[in-house]
Amino acid sequence: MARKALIALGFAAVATSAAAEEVAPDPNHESKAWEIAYEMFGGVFTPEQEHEIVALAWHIAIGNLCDDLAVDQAKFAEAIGQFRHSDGADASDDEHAYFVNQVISNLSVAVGILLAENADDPAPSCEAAKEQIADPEFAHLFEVGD
Amino acid sequence: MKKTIAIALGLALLAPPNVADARWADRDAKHACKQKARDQYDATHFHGVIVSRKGNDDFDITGVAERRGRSDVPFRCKIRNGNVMSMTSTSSGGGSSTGAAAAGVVAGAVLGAVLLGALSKDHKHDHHREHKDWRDGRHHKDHKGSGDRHSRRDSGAFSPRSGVTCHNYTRMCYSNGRYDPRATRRHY
Repeated sequence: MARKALIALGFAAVATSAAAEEVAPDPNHESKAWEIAYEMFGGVFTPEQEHEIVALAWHIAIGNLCDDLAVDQAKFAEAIGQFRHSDGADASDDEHAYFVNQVISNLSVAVGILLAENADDPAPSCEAAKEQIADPEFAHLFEVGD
Repeated sequence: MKKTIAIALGLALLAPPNVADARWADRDAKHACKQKARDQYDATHFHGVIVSRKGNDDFDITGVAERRGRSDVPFRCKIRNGNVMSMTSTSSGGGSSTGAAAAGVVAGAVLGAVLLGALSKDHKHDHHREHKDWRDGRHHKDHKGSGDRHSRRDSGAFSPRSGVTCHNYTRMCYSNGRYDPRATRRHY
């Protein structure tokens, strides 16, 4: 894809090494908490949905930690509403209800962990978020403009 | 007051009154069925486990039991009054049909109807088959196979570029020590 190629070229220009290297886990990554959280996901979500839950949680955490950033509630509600059980129409009403319950519950868990990771020193996270928001390639759910 | 607090409050209002209690009960049920599957099928790992609450202490749990060196076993486990009542393999396509599914409407179903009714205007039209991703604007088909994540998980971390660390188990990337959704999306 052209987009991927551009991204790859962009990073190739600044990367010190093209190859990914094994490194020690990031100390700011609450590994144990995340592992338990992912266990709590319980196989309900697809990997993509797991990413999405964490990304949505990041929006809530950043929106609450950073004075000049706020989540666009309409966009956020729409994003939440787009979650679908991976069994699709084959899912029973109960399964679907459970799925929605899991989305909300695990979203809350992820918010908590992200707050724990960022609340003591939110400034770098706020700056990083602003830098990402400024990237036209990065879709986000924050309010923009006045 | 932060605007996002309203989101949390809104979600809280839509949630059932005792989500925390329900969660732990669900988890207990799941663990009981996993233990039964370990005993019955020599299961070593699980994927795609879905817990459906049928009543206060009643659950139907489905999933796939993985076995070392042998084929996987799709299973259905029923818990009634906190006890494992049955553990059946659904690999033959049959599965038990007790006809009792219509009995219990749980609080979670109310939540699902309220939440999706409120938040998903197109819910009734797409039959769960397709959705628009807020991040790339593209339409995606349903993603079957949530269990795939387990087989791809391992421990450890790697650095795709300077300042970025990606964690294999959670498949999350951090830039300069902060969770980075952009890098995560790029590398996973």
